Amino acid sequence: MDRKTLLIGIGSFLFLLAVGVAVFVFAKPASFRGTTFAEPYPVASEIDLTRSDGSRFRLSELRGEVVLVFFGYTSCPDVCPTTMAELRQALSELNAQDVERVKVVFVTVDPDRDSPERVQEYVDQFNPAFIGLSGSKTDLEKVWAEYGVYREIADEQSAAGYIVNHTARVSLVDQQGNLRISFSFDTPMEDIVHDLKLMLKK
Amino acid sequence: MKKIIWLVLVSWVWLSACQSSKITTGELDVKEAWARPAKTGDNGAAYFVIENGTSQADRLLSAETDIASAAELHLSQMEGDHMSMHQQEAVTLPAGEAVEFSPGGFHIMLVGLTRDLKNGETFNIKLTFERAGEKNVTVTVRDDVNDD
Repeated sequence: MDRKTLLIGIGSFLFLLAVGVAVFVFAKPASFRGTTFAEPYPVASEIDLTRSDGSRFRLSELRGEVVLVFFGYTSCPDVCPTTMAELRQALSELNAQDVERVKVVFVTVDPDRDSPERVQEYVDQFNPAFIGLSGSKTDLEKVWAEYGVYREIADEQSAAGYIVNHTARVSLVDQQGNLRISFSFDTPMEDIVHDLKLMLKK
Repeated sequence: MKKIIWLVLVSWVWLSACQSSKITTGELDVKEAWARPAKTGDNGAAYFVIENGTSQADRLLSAETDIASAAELHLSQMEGDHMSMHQQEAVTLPAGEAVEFSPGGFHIMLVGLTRDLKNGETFNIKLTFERAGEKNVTVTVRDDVNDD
């Protein structure tokens, strides 16, 4: 075998390998990176709570939009601001048209300290378009239960008073009002952006 | 057989060389201190990396700052599917190692901010260590940190 034949042989082998890899990578159907709910998708339970201006917020009125729901509290120094800052950053990666079709909702797990005004003021720091919600304990308990939110008041002898340990996931509700994805606290921001773009394409 | 013994010996020496990436500066350093923007009256958190380059373990005992009514050592951690936060009496800093204070982990909780923390501004925290004594750390307020 002469040198030329050998080179052509190696060259074609590498070319075919590259084609194979490309087919494998690009032919794979696009899939979500967060934890997905299986079909049939569960319908996201109604969230019917008070807004800072006294009006009612109803999740069911946001059909046609993608809604990200997070449960937290405004005295939370670490996990809640981190999540809000990440969601703000995630939205900044979307184009203007897509941003309009995404709503971020922050529901308190601490109604004793968080009035609707207080929650809205808190989320305004991150993005005034974010929706902050509170309400009566009875109304909230129903929402927490329906979204499987764990919530525990802990006395850590902190100068901040009590601490609320809580589920730190972000739930994604699709345009049809179904629960589709749940993002854990350590989900990279890029993965949230990826899943939002994919969901908005549909 | 001889070949195998040599292989094992060489790999062992090579692996231990790789592992000995201990910090040996002889000093305890606090680096990359930052905090997120937050409002007066709210709680905030400060993050940094502590490199213990000395040959002895140390402990972070307390934090003090004049921009909040209290500064406490806390650890956020996942317990099952939820996040819990626990106040720490001290944080152990093993010799030659770096301990990271970051979102969802160790942090200095700034309780009741006495002023707004605005992007780009700085403030001071005094950290007290068991061995290294007191260290003043300049913390930069940043809203662009993506801690993935």
